[in-house]
Amino acid sequence: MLVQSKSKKLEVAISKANTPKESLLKGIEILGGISKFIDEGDQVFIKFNLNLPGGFPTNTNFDVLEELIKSCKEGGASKISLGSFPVKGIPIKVLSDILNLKDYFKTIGAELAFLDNSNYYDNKDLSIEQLKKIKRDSFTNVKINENDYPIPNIILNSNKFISVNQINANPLFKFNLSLLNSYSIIPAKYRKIGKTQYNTIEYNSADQYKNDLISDILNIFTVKRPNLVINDMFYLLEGAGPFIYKDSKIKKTNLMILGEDAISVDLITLKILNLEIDDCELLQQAQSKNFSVPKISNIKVLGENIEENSMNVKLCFSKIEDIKLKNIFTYPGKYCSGCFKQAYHLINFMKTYMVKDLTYNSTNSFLIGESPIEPEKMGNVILFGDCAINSTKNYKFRKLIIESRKNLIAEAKNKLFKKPKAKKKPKIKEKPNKNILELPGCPPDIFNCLELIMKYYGKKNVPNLNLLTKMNEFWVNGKLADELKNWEAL
Amino acid sequence: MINKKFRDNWLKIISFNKNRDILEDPEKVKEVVRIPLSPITINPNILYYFFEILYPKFINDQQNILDIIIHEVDKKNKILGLFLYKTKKAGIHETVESLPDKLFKIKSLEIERLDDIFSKVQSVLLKEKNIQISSIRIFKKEAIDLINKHSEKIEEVSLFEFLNRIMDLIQKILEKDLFLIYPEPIFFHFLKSGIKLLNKIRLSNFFKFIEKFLPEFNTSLLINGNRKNLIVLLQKTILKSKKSDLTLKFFSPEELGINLNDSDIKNNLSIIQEKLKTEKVYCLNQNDILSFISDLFELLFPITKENLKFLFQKALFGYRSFETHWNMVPRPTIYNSLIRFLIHLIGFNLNLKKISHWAIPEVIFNYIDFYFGLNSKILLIISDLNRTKKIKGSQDNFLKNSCLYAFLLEFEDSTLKNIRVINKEKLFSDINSNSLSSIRRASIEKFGSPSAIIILDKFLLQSIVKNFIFNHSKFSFIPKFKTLKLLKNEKYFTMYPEFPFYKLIKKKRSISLLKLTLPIIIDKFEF
Repeated sequence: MLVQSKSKKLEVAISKANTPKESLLKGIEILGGISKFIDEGDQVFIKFNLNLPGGFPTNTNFDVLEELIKSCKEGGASKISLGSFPVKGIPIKVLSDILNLKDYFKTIGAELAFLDNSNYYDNKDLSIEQLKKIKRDSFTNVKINENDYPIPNIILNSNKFISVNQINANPLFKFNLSLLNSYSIIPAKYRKIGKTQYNTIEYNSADQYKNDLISDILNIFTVKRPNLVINDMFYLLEGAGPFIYKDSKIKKTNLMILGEDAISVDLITLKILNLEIDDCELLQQAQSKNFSVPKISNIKVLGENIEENSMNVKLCFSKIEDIKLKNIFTYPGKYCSGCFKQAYHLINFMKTYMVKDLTYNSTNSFLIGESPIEPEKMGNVILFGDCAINSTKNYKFRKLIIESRKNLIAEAKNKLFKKPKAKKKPKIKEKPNKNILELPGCPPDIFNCLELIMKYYGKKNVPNLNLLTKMNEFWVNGKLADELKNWEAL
Repeated sequence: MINKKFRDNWLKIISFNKNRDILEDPEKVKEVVRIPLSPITINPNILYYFFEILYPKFINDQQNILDIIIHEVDKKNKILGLFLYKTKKAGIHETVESLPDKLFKIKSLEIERLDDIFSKVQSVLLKEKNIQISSIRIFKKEAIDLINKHSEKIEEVSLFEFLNRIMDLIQKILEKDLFLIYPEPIFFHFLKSGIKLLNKIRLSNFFKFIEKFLPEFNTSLLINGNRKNLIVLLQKTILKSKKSDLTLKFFSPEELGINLNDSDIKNNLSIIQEKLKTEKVYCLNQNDILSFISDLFELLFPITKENLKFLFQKALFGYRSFETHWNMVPRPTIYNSLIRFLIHLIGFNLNLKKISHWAIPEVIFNYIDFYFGLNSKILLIISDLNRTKKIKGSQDNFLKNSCLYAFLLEFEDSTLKNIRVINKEKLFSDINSNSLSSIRRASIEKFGSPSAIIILDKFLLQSIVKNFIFNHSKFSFIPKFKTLKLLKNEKYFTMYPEFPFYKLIKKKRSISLLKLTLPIIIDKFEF
């Protein structure tokens, strides 16, 4: 199953040019030309970044894909397919329809692989049995370290596997490395990390979510190692990523890092970004799990020089409380990487697309993690994730203390007849605080959170979100998304 | 060396400036001059005022200027003329003194280092004339030739023709670096960057393109200044020959025999309206205009998203400040509280004084970023369906025949880096169908893969400009709804790929679309 590359030398090319296309061609040339990677008649699968129905750099630079397809054809490839699994809840067909990918790739001589078979499951002529058969035939369950992973057969059966990875800032791993790109060869549903067998406190302290996630990433990586890895950092997304948010910025580096060994390519990419292996838990764990992680000195760097091209870039915020949001005050507890990742996306989403909504709804306390700090200000309390919901059951903010109204007539009488003031204590009533928004999940799902936010505040108070919801009806909550769920349940 | 009429007019201006202080009442001077290089006649006192406020703000706020005319022969710069303007007030040219050509020399390579030339000139003038200058303006001989050509019979041309000619002149001079100025003002940098961005698109063509979308109008402006009020008459009429005629005139209130009362703006505007027989009269504040133009010059190039957002916010803020920063007569019905209340009752909050200047740009730019990406190439096609009325939409080459202009806009990190005019023949060669996917397919090979193709019809653009810009506050919903309907019609507005926001515009009914977007466009807390 594992396809080994022709050469086993750890060579990594750093190419620099004026355009992404030139940079790619130069990089391939430095490594020995496309014929080193592609043989006559090869069936090539290109794994690229396809996350959301948006533009670059949320998804890979299409100019680069175009040039790579051209090169593969020149190398003699008989069939070139491209694909990736998008974020949870979005079928590939929805993305293809919005961005017209199927047509586009056909024009440039390749084929978009509907890895989730979303081109079939809206076909009314197919029965459930036929759909089950299609699903059975298109995936193979691969068992690695006692975990089953459904891998699309088109990837497993391809002769050559190329990873084209756009380097974007990432809240969990600093940058989207090629190892992460390989992870999305399995459906988003199977990328979900659960917490069933752990104690919450232990789970959070050990950041078991991240450990499990890294294990999964590394397991998937071993299924099919790429023959050619391209880390495209010609235009690098810094500040906030990997999707386009308000704080996202493009940095033009003119660089591309290419090689046969994904780990070496990632190491060199990190080195250029002035990061060491100790800064990247993904590679650290790879090392501890006996993956062959070479020393930088053992990698032969071709083309440009690392030192001359190294640079500092702005990383994503690593703590939720550091992301400043109008009218939202964050009260963190001990949270795991799962909640952090989802909260990071939710907060950045709100900062980018809900500017007016945030202004309209003043004083919101955002509580995240196990035993968060008690909010100082009341107003709306947003509890993010199961840990925050369960660990704050006895918190003060859960109840509102209301003093009973004074008996004004009795007081007036007392004053009139100069009676001494009664020393009765005012009656205190406790009422459950209704201004609490619970966003459940471990970790919570963003689309679900947005629905709950809309329901809680009311569409008049969140006009931005209301518009977005209406707009998203054309993709996220479309009929295909429901059919995706049914398909996954088959 | 310079055109005689140009020189005579310039000397007349200088003479007025020199004698202005000794005139009993400069406001009431009967003679007129032309704005240099233009056919527009103006009271010299108004021109004096323009120089007084604009020159220090946008060009140089210090005194004394030296004009140098050079001619490059055999890689040597021969000085053809030196003219010293002693300006008591920055920008007010009062005297001109011709200095000997051999006062100093400028070597060919020196032209690259204007700071060095300036220092050299400064020290020579200090020594010889005991005068300090604040700026040098270098005209190459070709620039003078172009100015002379431009000035031929300039007083006889129409305003439209003049605007075309002056834009061509500016573009030629700046493209070839025929005019240099030190210290370089931001305004000059703005012009140069703008021309560079246009990437060989003729400025005059750009102006003609914009002009086509302007409806007929008959408007006047009262510009309230700290010291002086100005009245501007702006008209566009479409002649029987379908050519348009533009009018631009400047008046002082005294010239029109109007006595403006500071405390009653509306009455002032009504008097101007009556006097100039215009449909509308706007009252604008001079300082607001200057501040906006100044920001425009400083921020526009390169056109980054943040700068554009800021300017957009500023423009919207200005728009919402009706009756505080600007005013107009007749007062639009839309601002009537009772009308607004009644509209509110049927579910529309339409308070233009509450336009959400801070939120609208955010929403627009963030969606553009998300769907088009931070780096993108957008193929923009302006069509003219009127030209192809007889051709059916399904007929082959319909798109090609209806295409008026095609541009490729290239963005990098949300900053517009390049505008390319695409040759229609080249774009549509090898395309036989009218589908946008075939255009995309063809353009991938010719210009690289575009992120989106947008087709906008001229009629829709004209309708938007007329109903949403010129008649922005007119209380008539039917034309506005008609424009929205056009926006939903694929013939007039198409986008490929069909992004969700486009689908929303296309598929939602106009009223639902308004109800959905108005809470974002207008702030709540109405009464």
